[in-house]
Amino acid sequence: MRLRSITLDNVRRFTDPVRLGPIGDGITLVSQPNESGKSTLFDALQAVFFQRHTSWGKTGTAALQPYSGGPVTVECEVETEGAVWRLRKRWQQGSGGEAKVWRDGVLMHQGDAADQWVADLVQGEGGGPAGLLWVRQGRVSLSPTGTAKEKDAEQAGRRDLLTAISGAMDAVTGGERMDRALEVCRSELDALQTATGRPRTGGAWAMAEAEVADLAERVEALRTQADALHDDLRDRDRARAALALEEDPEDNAARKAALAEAEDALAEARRHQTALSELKLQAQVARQAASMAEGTALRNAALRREKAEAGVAAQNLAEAAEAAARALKSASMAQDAAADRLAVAEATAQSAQAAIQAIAQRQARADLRRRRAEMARRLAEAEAAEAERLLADSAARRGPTAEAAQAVEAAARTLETRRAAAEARAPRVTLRYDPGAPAASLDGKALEDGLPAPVGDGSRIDLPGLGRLSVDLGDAAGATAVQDAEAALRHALAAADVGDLDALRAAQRSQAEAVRRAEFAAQRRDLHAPDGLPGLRDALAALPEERTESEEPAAPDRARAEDALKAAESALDAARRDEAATRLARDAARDAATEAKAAATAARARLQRASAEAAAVEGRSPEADAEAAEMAVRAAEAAEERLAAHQRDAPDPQAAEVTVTRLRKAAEQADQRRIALRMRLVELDTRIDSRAEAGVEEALTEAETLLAASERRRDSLLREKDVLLRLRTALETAQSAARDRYFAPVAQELRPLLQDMWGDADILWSDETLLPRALVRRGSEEQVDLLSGGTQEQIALLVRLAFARLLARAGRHAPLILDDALVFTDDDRIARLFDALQRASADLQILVLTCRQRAFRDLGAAEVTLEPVAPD
Amino acid sequence: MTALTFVHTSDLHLGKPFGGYGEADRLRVARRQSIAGLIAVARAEDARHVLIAGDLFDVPNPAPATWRQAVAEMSEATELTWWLLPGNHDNLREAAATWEAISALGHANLRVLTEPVPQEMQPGGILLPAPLTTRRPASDPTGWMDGAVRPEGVIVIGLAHGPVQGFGAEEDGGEIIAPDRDRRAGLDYLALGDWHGQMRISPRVQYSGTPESDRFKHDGRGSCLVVRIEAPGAAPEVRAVETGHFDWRLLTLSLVPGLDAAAKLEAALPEGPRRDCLLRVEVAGRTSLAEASALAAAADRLAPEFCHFDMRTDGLSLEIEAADLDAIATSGALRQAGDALAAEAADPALGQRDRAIAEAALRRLHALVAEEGA
Repeated sequence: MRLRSITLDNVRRFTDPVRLGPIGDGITLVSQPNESGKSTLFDALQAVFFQRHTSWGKTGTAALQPYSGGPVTVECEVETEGAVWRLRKRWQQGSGGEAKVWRDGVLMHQGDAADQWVADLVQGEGGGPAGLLWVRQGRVSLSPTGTAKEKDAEQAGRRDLLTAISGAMDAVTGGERMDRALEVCRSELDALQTATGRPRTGGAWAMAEAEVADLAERVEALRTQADALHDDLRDRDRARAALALEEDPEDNAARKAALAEAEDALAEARRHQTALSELKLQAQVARQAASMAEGTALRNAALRREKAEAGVAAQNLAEAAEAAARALKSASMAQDAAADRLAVAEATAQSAQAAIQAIAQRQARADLRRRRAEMARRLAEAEAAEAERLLADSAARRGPTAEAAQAVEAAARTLETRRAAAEARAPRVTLRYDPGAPAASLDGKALEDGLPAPVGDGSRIDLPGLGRLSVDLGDAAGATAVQDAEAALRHALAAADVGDLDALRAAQRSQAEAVRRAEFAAQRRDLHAPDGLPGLRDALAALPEERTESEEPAAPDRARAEDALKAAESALDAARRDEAATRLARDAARDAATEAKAAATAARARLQRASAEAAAVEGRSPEADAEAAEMAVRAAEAAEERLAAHQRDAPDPQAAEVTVTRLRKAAEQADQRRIALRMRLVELDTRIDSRAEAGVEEALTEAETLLAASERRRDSLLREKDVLLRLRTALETAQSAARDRYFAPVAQELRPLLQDMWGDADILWSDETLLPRALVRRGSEEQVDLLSGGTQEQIALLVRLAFARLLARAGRHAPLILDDALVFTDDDRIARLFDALQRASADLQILVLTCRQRAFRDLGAAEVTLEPVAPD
Repeated sequence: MTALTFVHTSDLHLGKPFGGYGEADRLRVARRQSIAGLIAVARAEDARHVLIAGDLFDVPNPAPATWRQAVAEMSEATELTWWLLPGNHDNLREAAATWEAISALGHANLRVLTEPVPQEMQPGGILLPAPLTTRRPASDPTGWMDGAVRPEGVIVIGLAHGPVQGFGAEEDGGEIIAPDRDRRAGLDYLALGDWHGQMRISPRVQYSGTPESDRFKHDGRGSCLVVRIEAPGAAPEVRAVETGHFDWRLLTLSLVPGLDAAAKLEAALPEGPRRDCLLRVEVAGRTSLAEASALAAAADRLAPEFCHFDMRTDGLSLEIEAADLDAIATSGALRQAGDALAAEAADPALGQRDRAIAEAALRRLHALVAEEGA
C-alpha cells in the first residue's frame, strides 16, 4: 500500500476541507511550524485506517471533531494491488457515520464492508501497525510513554503488532504450547533449585539434601558409638583374661611364700648386724685393756731400774731407802689390790658381755631394748667418768699453786745449799784418844778417833769424865744465812699453805695424780660417749620405748656386770696414781743429784724416792707383768677373732632388704593391677550396658538403610533436576534459535543502518517484548532503556525503517509516518539519519512531519503542504 | 528307636530395620511374629525341637527389647527346645555379650550352641553344631563333624550357617561348606542357614530359608522346614510350611514397541491381597514414548494398592518413532527440541547417563505436550 493523498474535512481546526498530496514514493516532507495541523493530520490518518466508522470515543474519533461540531470526514487515496483506491470515513455522534471505498471511481464497499476492507488492507499488508511504523509526535523510544492511557494504547498497539505476526511466529517458536511447556518445566525446576542452581530452600531437593545430611550425621554418630561399643567389648575380653591371670592362685601363693622367706632372711641379717656391733665394742675394749697392761709392764720395769740406780746412789741411806721401800711396798700392795679388782672387773665384764651376747641373740625387738640398756649403761659409765673427772679436776685445783710450789722448792734448795755451805765451812774437831780413854760424843754420836767431825753452832761435845763442851761459833759458820733461808722457806710454805716440804711434795703428787685421774676419766667418758654426753642422752631419748625387761625371759643382770667392770677400772686407776707418785719422787731426787751431787740429804731423798717407787712394784715380778700383758693381748686377739668370724658369716642385710623391697613392690603392683582391672571392668560393663540398652547397632543399621533410601531419593531428585534442566535447555535453545530465525531478516535489514550510525553495532532482542532490549557497541552491551534520549529515538527510527524495508521486500509496502520523530538528535547524527532515510527510501514511502523546518531542509525530500480544497 | 521330628529354620534377623520402605513398621512387626509362627508349626507338627541355623539376630548386639522379647517368647513354649546357632550376623566374636546374656537367663529350653561339641537332642538323637566364631570364617565350620565321636545307632543332625561351595552366597562371603558334608560326617541331615530362600542341596543337606522374607531375591512368603527322620540312616522327610506374612515379588516385564505396556503390567501382577505384597517391577526391552508414558501412569495408579511398589526402568530403552515426535510438534521449536533430545538419547558418543537424561527429558516433553493435548 502506498498513500497518495489525504483530505480532511471538519477535522479539528480544519473546518474547511484541506488536502495533502500528491504523495509520491520515497520521502515526503511536511515541514510546517507548530499549530499548523501536523498532529491532526497524523491522528486523522490513524483514524481512517484503524477506527471503524461507527466508533465515536473521546480519545478517538470524537477528539477529531472541531468545536463547531458536525461530522468528521477523512478521505485517503491509496495505491495497492495495481489500482488506486479512495476510501472515506465519516464519524459523527449517533448513527451518522459512513465508510465507503471506491476503486477507480467505482464504489466497491461501504459501511461495515468498507471497514473490513480497510482492516484487511492494514492487517494483510502489515501497513499500519501503530507504535511500530507510525511514530507520533513526542514519541522517542519504542517503549510506551506518555499518560497511562497512552501507555495502554501503546501496549495494545504492540499486542496488535504481535497478533498481526503471531501466526508465523507460533509456527517457528512453538507458540503457546512451547510457552506452557517451558512454564511447567521452569516452574518444576524453580521448585527444586534457585536461579544460581542451588537447592531452593523448602524445595524437595533442598529437603532431600538436608535429610541426607542429617542422616549421614546420625550414621556417623551411631557408627562412632558402635565402634566404641565394639572396642569396649574387645577391651572387656582382654581385661577379663588379664584379671584371670592376675588372680591365678598358684602364682599368688608362690609370690607370698617368696616374700615371707625374704622377710625372714632380712630379720636374720639384722640380728646378725646387732651382734656384730656388740663384738666390735668388745674388741675395742679388749684392745684398750691390752694396751694398758703393756703400759703397766713397761712402767714397772722402769721403776725397777730406777730402784737399782737409786740404791747404788743411796747406799748409805738405808733408813731412807727402807722408808721408801715401805712406801713402795704399800703402793705395791695397793696396786696388787687394784690389779685384783681389775681382774675381777674384767671377769665380771666378760660375764656381762656374755650375757649381753646372749641377749643379742634374742628376737629383733629385744635388740632395741638391749641397745637402749647398753646406751644407758654407756651413759652411766660416761656420766660416772664425768663425775670422776669433775672430782679429780676439783682435786687437781686444790692445794698449792704451781707458782707457790716452785717458790717453796726454790727456798728449800736455797736452804739446803746454805746448810751445805755452812756445813762445809763449819769447824771440825778431831779427837785423838788417849789409849783407854772413854769415848767422847758429838751431839750424841761417838767421835771416832782421829776422824774430823764437823761441829755447828750449839754443838755439844760430851767428854766423859770431863764434862760437856758447848760450841758457840757466833756467825762464823754462816748461821745467819741458814736462818734466813729457813725463814724464807717457812714463808714460802706458809704462802703455799703447807706445813713442810714433804707436805708440799705430797700435795703436788696428789694434784698430779688428780690430773691424771681426770684425763683418764675423760678418756673413759669419751669412750662411752664419743659424741658427748648430750648426744648420748639424745640418742638414748630418741630410742623408742620397748616393753620392760620383766616382760622378757630372764636374762643376766647387765648392770651388775658393768658395775664390776667399773670397780676394776677404778682399782687400776689407783695403781696408776701410785706409779705416778714414785715417778715424781724419783724425778725430784734426780733433780737434786744433778743440782748438788754433794748434797747427801738430797741423795738420801732420791734414794728414798727411788726405793719407794721400786717398792711399789717390788711385789710384782716382771714376768707377772708380762704375763698380765700377754693375757690382755690374747683376750684382745680373741675378741678380734670372734669379730672377724662373725663378719665372715654375716649375711648382707642390704641385699636382703632389696629382695624384700622388690617382692613387696611386685605384690603391691599386682594388687594395683587387679584393682585397676576390676575398676576397668566395672567401667566397661557400665558403658556396654548403656550402649546395649540404646540398641546402637540396630539404630545404626536402621539409620544406614534410611540414609541409603534418602540418598536414593536425593539422587532421584537430582536426576529429575537434570532432566528438567536438559528439557529446559532444549526448549530454550530451540525457542531462541527460532527467534533468531524470526528476527534474522529484520536484523539483516537493520545491520547496515546501525553501521551507518555507530559502526560495528548490533541489536539484542527481548524474548518477552520482541523489541530491541540492548544495543551492542564495540562488544559492550547497553540496555536500550538506559541510553540517551537521542540514541533511543535514533534506534526507534532505525528499527522502524528496518521493519518497513522487510515488509517492502516481501512485497507488502507500508508507509512509514514520522511525526516529529527526531527531537533530541544532534546535527551530526541527524545528517546520518537523513542518509539512512534516503538509503531506505528507495523502496519505501516515508512521510515526515516536522516543525523543525531548518533542520530538515537538508533531508532532500519532496515537500508538500496542506492545501485548501477548492469546492467542486 | 524313636523318630526325630524338628523344625528347621534360620535367618530370622530379628531387629532388622526396613528403612526406605513406607510400611517399615509393619514389616518389623511381621518379623517379630515369625517366632509365634514357628511355635505354631512345631505344635501342629508335633515337633519338640526348633533348630535355628544362625542369624537369629540382625546385628551382634541387638537392643534389649529385641532379644529379650524373642527369648521370652521362645522360653514360654516350654514343650519346645530351641537350638540357637550363632551365624555370621550374630557370630561368637562380635555377639559374645548377647549370647552370654541369653545363657545367663538360664532358660532350660534354650540351648545356645557356642561350642562345636555334640549335643543330645533326645535319646537316640544328637546334634553337631557348627557355630561361627567370626563374620567371615576362613575355613569350613562343619569340618569337625567328620571326626566327631558319636554313639552307634543314633540319628545325627548337623547344624551350620554359611554358603555351600558351588551354590553361591546370600551376601558377600566365601563359599565354605562342603556340599557332601552329610556323607563325609555320616549325618542324617545337615540343617543350613544363610540363604534366605529354601534350597535343597541334596536330600540330606538343605537350607530352610527365612520364616519371614525380607528381600526380592527370593519370591514368595517365608517358610520353614519340618524334618522327620524315622531312624538312623533313613531318608529324611522334609516338608516346607509357609510361615511368612508378606509376599515379596519380583516381576520382569519385557516390552517391545507396539505392546500395551500398561496392560501387560496389570496382567502380570500377582494374585492375593496386594496390601501384604511388596512388588518390584524391573522393566526391560524397548517401547515407544507413548507406551512409556502410559506405563508410568499405570504404575502411579497401581502403586498405592501395594505395601510396596517399585518399578525400575533402567533396562528399558525408548524406541522413538516419528509419530512420537509428531505428537510433540510437526515443526517449529518444539519439534526441534524433541529432535535434539531424541538425537542425544541415541547418540553413542554420549555416556549412558547423558543418554538416559536426554531420554527422560524427551519422555517428559512428550508427557507435557500429551497432557496439553488431552
